[in-house]
Amino acid sequence: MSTQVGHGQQPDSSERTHAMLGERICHHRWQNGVQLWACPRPGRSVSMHLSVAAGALHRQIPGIELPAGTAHFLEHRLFEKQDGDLSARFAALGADIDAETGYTHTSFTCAVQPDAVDPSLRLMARLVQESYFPTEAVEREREIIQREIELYEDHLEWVAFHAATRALYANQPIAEDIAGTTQTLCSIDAETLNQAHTHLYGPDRIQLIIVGPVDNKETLDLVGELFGSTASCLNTNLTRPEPAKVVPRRIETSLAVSRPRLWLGLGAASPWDKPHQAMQRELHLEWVLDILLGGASPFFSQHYESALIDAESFGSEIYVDEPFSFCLIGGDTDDPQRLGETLLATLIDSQTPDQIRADVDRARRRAYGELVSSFEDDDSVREFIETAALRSCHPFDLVDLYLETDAEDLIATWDLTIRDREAAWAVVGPNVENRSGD
Amino acid sequence: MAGAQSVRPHSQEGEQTSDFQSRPLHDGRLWVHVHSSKRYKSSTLDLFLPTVLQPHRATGLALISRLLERGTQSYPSLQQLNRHTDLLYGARYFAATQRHGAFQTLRLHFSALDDRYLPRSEALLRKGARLLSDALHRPHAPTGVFDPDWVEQEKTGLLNTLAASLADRSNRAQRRCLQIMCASEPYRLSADGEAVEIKAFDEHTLTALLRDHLEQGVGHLYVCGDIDVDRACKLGEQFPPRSDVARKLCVGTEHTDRPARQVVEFGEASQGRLIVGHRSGIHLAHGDYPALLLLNLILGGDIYGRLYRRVREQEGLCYHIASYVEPMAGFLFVEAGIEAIHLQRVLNHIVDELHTLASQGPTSEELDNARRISLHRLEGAADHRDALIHFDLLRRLAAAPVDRLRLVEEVRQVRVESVRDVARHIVRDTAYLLAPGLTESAGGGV
Repeated sequence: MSTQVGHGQQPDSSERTHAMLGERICHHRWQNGVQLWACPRPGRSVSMHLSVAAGALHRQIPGIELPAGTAHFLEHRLFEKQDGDLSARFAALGADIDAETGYTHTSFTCAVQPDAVDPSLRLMARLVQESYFPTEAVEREREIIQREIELYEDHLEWVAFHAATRALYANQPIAEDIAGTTQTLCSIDAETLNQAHTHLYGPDRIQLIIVGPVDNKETLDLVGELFGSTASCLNTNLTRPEPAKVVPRRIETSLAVSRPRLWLGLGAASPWDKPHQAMQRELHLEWVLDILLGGASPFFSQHYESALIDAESFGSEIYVDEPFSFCLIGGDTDDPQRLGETLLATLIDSQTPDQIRADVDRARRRAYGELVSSFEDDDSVREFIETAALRSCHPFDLVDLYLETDAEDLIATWDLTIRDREAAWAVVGPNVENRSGD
Repeated sequence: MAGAQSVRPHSQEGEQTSDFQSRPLHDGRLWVHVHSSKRYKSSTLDLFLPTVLQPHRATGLALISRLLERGTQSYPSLQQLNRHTDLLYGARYFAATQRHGAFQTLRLHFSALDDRYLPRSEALLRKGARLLSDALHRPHAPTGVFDPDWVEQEKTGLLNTLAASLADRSNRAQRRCLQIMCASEPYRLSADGEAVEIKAFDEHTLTALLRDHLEQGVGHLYVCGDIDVDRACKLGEQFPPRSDVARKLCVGTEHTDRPARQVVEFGEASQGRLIVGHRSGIHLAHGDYPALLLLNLILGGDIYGRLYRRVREQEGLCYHIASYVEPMAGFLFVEAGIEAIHLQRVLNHIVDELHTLASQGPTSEELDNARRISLHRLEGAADHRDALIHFDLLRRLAAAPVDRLRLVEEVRQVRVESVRDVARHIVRDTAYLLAPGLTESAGGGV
């Protein structure tokens, strides 16, 4: 059975099969706003992913401004409940459980054997629905998070990413560490966590993605029992993150690594208000950057051979979400200034439209292979569904976007998000003086 | 304590494990291992050419892997090669050296979509086998040796890669702990090579080394996807034989009665990186290996491990602490990010938990939990061909007569007493701390 979903509208229930991929995805949204995406497929393990629209950028809730790091702190403290630590109960089920906080979402991922789906899902419901924040435990957690922050302070990937967001979005929440700082951690207490949990963990903010050998009807019934009947009385619109404003500048940060890391940041207004455009932006940018800078591009060969770039670290990352849209381009290099200038010259080259038209078929074939490969194992299927679902798309609509994209779409995205954009520069490395030029 | 592994010649008839059907080619000089499954939408080829980790040679092979990734006689530039694989519907090709215990493998990988997902039949796997064969036997060598410009570029590239790897504090601590712990064993070496050895290689020595490597030992070709054994063997026939089947690769761990060492080195780091290396003498081929697997989970294998509960949750001494097993040597490592002033406290906790496990064993609840997690992972590995290949290659290199499903059965049988007895065999060898400090230390204080 296949039900077509119109752009920008999600029915309360749908079951769609994609003939080319041979995959089926069932979607259900309960009246309280909880959503389930289930992709039944054979296997020996079930991947369950619970995503809550509660991230580091959710700083304003009615009556309180949350300190930086609150969502992450909350994620840490959710495992302990009044009757003990849920980690031990997940362990007793043989489940692998993990949690992660991002800018706009906190997610909990549980991999479990098929016969433990029911009790594991019950634990996941408790994980996000119950709040228990004893003062002593909150104090202890502050120490642990402080250690976590320290651990990442000399982690090149993280330091460089953080420098790039500071270079793009000076003095805005997105430029702050997701885990907060020593100072902001001190102002997070049990009451802060309670308030944040009340406002940010409502059912209308929860999406579940379940992939693996599960029965669709049983899963639907179970999720409905656990999540579908909880009341939603809070106004989600009151807790939307502020759009981030691109204010490009140059940041230099000293770190004892072997060679400098350069990230050039190119930001634009988020296209979130128009259905499917966030997905299109992300997809088109991937293709454009593959054509201009990817492994089969003249740029890559020429500058790999001249040792300006290396294959391990050079690349790009694209981030499109409700409050932001930016891409980072760069890698490790002996000469960050030259790499940056060379990159910019390539990105804004007036011949780019011709290059895109000439190379789009290769890029399409490559992207097609990556798309189909995304449906090979449960974790990548789950990630694919999440990518679409968090952007209010049906995952199969994303597949259609791949198939329908043409050169002119790519040129339009290049024109809007790369050409004539002022770049933010972030350089992290040895013998670099800490500098944040405004 | 000692462990020994060897690569033994196989029988000539072929064999079948729970995950692979295997057949010898070229008089047993190349084994083709086939995992036939319609589960995937692509098929993969992975060729492994193993040797024992050796100084100088390891660095040369690391350089060769980079050259094999650059091009072939048919695709004599990086751009042409990458364009070729992209046009094969995003096929993936790479060459790399990897470490499997004391072994270094030269690995060539190719993966591509199955025909049923393509507009027309493309036989991509056959093209992939040709690409891998060409990369090894018809590399880009315009004058009969590797292109000297490429060699110089890759020497620079490898130097940068090694420097970047050691700039990662956790990598550096792991590397230093192994170097100190296994000063006279192959385990001390990295499959990525050594920076100081790079200079010695040129296009002639690397070309000769590749030729020599192709003539040694037994190769393993893993073929996974919607393919049967006969077709997979046909693909394997594209790879000329390695010539010296009789050569036996054999390595062992060191017998040592020396006291445990504690080494602190200083470097620029925001937080200390602690690695504690233990020897157990229980490797993959050992009957107590399943109990070691469970001991590891109980001690620090996950967020419900004893060390996580005690050192992080109760004492708040760290954010990260975990243990892991090196299956071919039977090493047990504990790693943690800690403040240097807490070193002794954390070490005491590790010693204390191991002593408690050795004297009292785990609780039944702990053992049951660890068993469930281990079984879930071992059984779930059937859905991940990379995990299946990794395990199968490890057991072959370790000459371990255990396949994945037999290990599942053995894990089911582990008793509290077995874990307790294994804990009694765990001996600390080296505790290494990379501590924040202004003085970069290459040698290390004790």
